[in-house]
Amino acid sequence: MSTPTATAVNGRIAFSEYTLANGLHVILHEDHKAPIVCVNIAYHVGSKNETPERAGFAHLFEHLLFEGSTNVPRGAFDKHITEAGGFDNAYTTEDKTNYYEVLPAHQLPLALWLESDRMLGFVLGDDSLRTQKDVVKEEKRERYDNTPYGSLSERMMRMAYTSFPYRWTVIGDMETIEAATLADVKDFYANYYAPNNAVLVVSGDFKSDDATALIEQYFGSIPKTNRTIIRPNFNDTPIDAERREIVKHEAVPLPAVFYAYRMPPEGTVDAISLDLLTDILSTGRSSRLYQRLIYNDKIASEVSSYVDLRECEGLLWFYGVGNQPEQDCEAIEAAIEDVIANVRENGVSEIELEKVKNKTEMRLVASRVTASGKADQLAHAYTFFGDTNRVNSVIEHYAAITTEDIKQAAARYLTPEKRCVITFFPPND
Amino acid sequence: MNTTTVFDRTQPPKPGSIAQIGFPKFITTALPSGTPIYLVENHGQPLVSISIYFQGGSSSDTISTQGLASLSAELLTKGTANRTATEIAEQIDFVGGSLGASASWDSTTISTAVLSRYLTTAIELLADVALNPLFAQEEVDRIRTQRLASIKHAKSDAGYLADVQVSKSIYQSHPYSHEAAGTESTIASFQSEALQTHYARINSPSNAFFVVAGDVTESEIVRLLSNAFSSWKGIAKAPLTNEMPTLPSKPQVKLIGRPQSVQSALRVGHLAITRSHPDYVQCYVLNMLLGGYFNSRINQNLREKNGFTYGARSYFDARKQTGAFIASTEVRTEVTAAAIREIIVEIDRIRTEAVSPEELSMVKQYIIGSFPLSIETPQQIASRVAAIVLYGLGNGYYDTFRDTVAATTSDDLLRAAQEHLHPKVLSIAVSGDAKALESELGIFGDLEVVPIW
Repeated sequence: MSTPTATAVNGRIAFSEYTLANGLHVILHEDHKAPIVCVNIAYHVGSKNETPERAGFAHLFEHLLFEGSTNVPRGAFDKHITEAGGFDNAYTTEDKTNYYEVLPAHQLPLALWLESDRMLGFVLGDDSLRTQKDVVKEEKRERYDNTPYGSLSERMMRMAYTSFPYRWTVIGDMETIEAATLADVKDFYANYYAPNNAVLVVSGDFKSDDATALIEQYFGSIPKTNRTIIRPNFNDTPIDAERREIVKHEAVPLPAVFYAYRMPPEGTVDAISLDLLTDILSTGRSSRLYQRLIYNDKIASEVSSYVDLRECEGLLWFYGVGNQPEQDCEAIEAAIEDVIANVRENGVSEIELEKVKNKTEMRLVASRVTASGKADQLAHAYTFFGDTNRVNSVIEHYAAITTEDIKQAAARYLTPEKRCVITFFPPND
Repeated sequence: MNTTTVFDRTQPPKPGSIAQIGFPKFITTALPSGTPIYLVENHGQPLVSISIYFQGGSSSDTISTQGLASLSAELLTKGTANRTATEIAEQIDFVGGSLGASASWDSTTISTAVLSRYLTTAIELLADVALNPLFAQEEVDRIRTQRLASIKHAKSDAGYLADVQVSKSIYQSHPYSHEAAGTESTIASFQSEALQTHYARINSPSNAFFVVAGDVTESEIVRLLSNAFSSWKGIAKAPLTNEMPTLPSKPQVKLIGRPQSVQSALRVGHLAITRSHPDYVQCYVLNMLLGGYFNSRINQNLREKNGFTYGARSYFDARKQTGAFIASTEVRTEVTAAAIREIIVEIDRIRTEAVSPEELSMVKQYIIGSFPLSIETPQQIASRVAAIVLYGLGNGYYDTFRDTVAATTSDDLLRAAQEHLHPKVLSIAVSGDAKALESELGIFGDLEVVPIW
């Protein structure tokens, strides 16, 4: 049976938090609805902490961290989790690296043991490095190089950023992945994989007192790092003239156009306004872009806009895919620009804003049904805002946005001279 | 939880005490017309999801009407006697909900999900699209254009090409060999009437059931659905009987040349069992060990030992009328033959050597231990309830599932492997760089290079 304090109405998450002497921040969220527990650790390091010569390293490192620690030999991490009836995974973004395990509730000590052991001491051999470089290269081939439009993110990042380390993608390049050495691995681990650069979340069916004692036991003795953790400052040149690239030689099925505009960091009023705006423009078949390009003009098979929110300036994307291989992209571009210009000049309606606020609430509630969904959001809020309660206040931040906020944000950020454009055309053979 | 043991970091900790949970009770009730309603009541979050399932899906398409069931379903939400397509979209979007319809191989589903305070709006829309769809020609033409584009897009994907090709080889003339979303020529041909006629074949209160999950009580859902569906009529037509495929007498390799490929999408499989086959659970355990999870033999061999791939897996795709066993991976071009060889080695090995007690214990502990993780949300539970009904598994199926797994022995797995895995008559499909691969793949069976259709 659910405890009244666990998950209250409308997706609010009740939690407690504290910081260990070594700087590890701990967040606990009890929810006794299902006998499941999730352990989630976010390290505040991502691809923006890489050098250009090692692009892709943070993500390669994420693979390596499953390869063995002081008391857990190569191959044993996944075996332990599997035998316990759980699963584990990890992901890397530009700004963070996140590891998590979901287990039957009585297996909480196992996950804490495994995560603490690899925070305490990491063991890596040449074999592991060789194999994981190959695995990551296959990941890159599968997700990007062998996929239609797969070169898009690499091209767009290079275009949208001039100097900041968002200039390359999280997956990196074949050459820079290959270049990684054991010395790089040791150095990266020492720089970033310390308790004072991490947040630990336990979410699900456990008692906070028990978890607190276990966490002290497993993590309390891990030394903090005294190195200065480098946080790149955003200082990239603003975009004041359209940047454009045309791709004609790649195997794509239909012509397509992609726009990206720089946008302010996650959590700012403008970023929230732009997030709501992209929903108004493209979420659901009543949205403006769907109605205009697909339903009425019938010039596109797919159209969308969304925000790629980051710790520093991220990107707001638009894309339209044609419906005929021979089509050019001019009509699609003109229609998208017309839809954007209309928002800059006339704003959006109260009804549209209410609609996307409802959608936001639905999405928020639906993303907080599972122990792992909640753990991920708690870790994210603390890592980037130092304010765990943002998981609960975020809905009020969205509710406070007005139609005027949206109009102003569109006028500030979505003007033609600020856009980066990439068009793809099928090869004509 | 036991925290009094001496702390020793060199050993894995002892687990705490295990919570025994059964498969959650679900409520079985019905509309006055007799249409069953299965309800998974759960008030943890203010969400409700409702699906109407009709028996009958893409397996009723013929070779020249591939895509009919799928296109017909898509048109359901594109206009009714009471609302235009845009009005339906506006109304469901306004409450932040979702509403959609789709066909799978053996069933067709209309589904909605909303915050519980908007439940009446969602049910009104659900009933309208189920009872009064128009299939207006203008909307058909619109969806046709989009569908043709999405087929072009699908055919540029290496995995799609290999999936379709291996299904064609395995299922032969059975409709499971079709492209369920249609082909460019079939999609170009459909008119409104055919889509309407197809829906009339399955749309009947006696050929459907509801599955509801989330924040709603039994009395409320019965009242709301009864009112909304009070005028529901229709008599379903019996599905056509399909000719059943048989295992071929020798292995075959189909190589699809795909421009600019730097990887091969690889599928290796054969005909196998239905979802309701008595050996299904044993095959499920067998496959988990062979290629079902990260620690499986195929993934450990191809990914962790050889670094051929980002991931490799296998599965029993057990459908209503028959099914297939398929191993699937994406590997760089140079190691394509080596990867096929390793997959065959693993299939051979599991048919000839008994599984060790350690490996058996790990896979059983995983399946049994992780079962609660797979029924964490009301929607996950609801989809299992739907499977019980669709495949006729019996209401107690998930109550005894873990016991059946626990009782599985190494002998059971050897017998299941010998009976249900057929490494001598594999159908292999590869989409990739045909020029580089043509000379290498003939050793696995009769090789045919096929163009993208």
